[in-house]
Amino acid sequence: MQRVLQDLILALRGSGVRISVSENMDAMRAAKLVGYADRERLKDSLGAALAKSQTEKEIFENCFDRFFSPDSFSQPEESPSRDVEMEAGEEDSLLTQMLLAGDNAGLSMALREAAENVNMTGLRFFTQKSLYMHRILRQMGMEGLEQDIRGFLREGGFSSRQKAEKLLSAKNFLFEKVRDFVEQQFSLFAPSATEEILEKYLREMRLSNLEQRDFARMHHIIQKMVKRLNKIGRASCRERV
Amino acid sequence: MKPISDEPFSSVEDIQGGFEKGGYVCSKSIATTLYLAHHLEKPILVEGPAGVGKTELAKITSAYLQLPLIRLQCYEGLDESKALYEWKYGKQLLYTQILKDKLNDILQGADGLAASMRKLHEHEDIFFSMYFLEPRPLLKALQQKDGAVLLVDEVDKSDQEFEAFLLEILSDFQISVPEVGTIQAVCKPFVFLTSNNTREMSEALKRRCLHLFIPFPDPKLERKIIEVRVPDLAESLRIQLVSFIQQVRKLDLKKVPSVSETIDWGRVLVLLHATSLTPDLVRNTLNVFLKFQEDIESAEDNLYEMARRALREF
Repeated sequence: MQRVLQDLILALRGSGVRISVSENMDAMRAAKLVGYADRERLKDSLGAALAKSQTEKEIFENCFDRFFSPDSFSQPEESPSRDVEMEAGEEDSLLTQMLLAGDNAGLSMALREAAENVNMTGLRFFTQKSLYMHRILRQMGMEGLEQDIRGFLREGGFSSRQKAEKLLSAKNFLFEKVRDFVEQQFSLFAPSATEEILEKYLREMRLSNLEQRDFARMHHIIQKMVKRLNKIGRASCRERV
Repeated sequence: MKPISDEPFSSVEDIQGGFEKGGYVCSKSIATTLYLAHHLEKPILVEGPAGVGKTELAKITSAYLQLPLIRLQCYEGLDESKALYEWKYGKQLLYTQILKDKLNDILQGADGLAASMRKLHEHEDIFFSMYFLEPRPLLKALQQKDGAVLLVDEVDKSDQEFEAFLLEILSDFQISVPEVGTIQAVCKPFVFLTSNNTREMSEALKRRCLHLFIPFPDPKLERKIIEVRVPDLAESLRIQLVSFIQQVRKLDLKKVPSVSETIDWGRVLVLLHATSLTPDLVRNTLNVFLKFQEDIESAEDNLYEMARRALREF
């Protein structure tokens, strides 16, 4: 879990929450103390150790909820084989076996493990999304799945054809779920995700309370305001004419 | 340096239960932060709008732990002589008088100035020692044998220089007196710092503390607070009162009513033997929770609608 916590801290830092080494250590100690079983308690504890203002609290809550949100496999109504479960052979790949058995828990775990292996924290730009999707699918055993599909199609019997069809639709399902997961992770680690929250607070903050780190953002906000004022000014001029 | 006993902080639920017995209804988030603060031995920086119970939290913690509450009210210009320690100048003067009287006995047999000085140095110099140190709240909190709850109230009103004084005590539970040396806490105090956010606190101070933001309570929690603090208020009236206050908080006011003002209003309604929140009753008691004429006027504009909605709640 230490790795998971470090990834959360990385996501928070990327979102503009300043976290020092000592705060990082406090968070680790807090998580060890309260455990991971109670989600709300863990959230309160990490929030107390990592987020030190109202703005940071809002960013933290936003990040925490997205970070620990259940992936799509955890929704029981959605399953790759919701109509009928099929028996997989022992020689089939693990991914094939899970898809045919409709093993959502297993798929969810495989997705998390694959995500950990490909290090999602490097996902910063939208152009990387397909690359990360490909890496995760490969880690989950996509090659084995494709081999199995080809094998079933080659065999040609009724049962094999049915399995191949089933696996082809399950493959699409898997693609979709991995894409959703990558999107979710992108929104977490891409810095733009929390810009809106920060800007909202900066607009309402007293100028005397501004900190050095906010100056660049303030420039951006003022530029936007000037553009807007110019636009309003031009529009009212045209009306008068 | 010994810590405060673990027993009152054995679980988050114990803290919540203990506080409720003392008349303070706290959310899980507050209880969790207290639990962490004790076990991680960290101070808590409590922020939130005025009147949500920040100071009260320190008071109830002191009552819960049965430890003295040592309070330092911050203001502009607060310095170390008011917050940390001061020398007892009168007593020091008396000491020099006594020393002068005893000087002949001390220097007996010394020949010349150098010999006299040598003889004088043989004796302990206690002019700058703990005997003459007058402890102020911060030092007093460190000297308590069984620990204490230290409340540094409205820390945002103090100067930035004062924050520097606090850093040592917040991280190491010790203070440095140049003439004496470092004084460590006998028992680590439970420290609260409260702030109304009139200015941003320094990164160094925040880093040393756990952060707790207490917002206005949601209707459910506020009803529970009123139930505990104003037990004589009928349930129907309690629901109406909380619904009305929650609506008032959504108005554009100079000062939104705090929890303490909701409690005050509840007490007033009990005194008036009110049974229901009628528009007339509300109009006559608006000044209990609204403290600006403009706010009273804007509440009056929406009074009928808000009272009707509150009555519909029960």
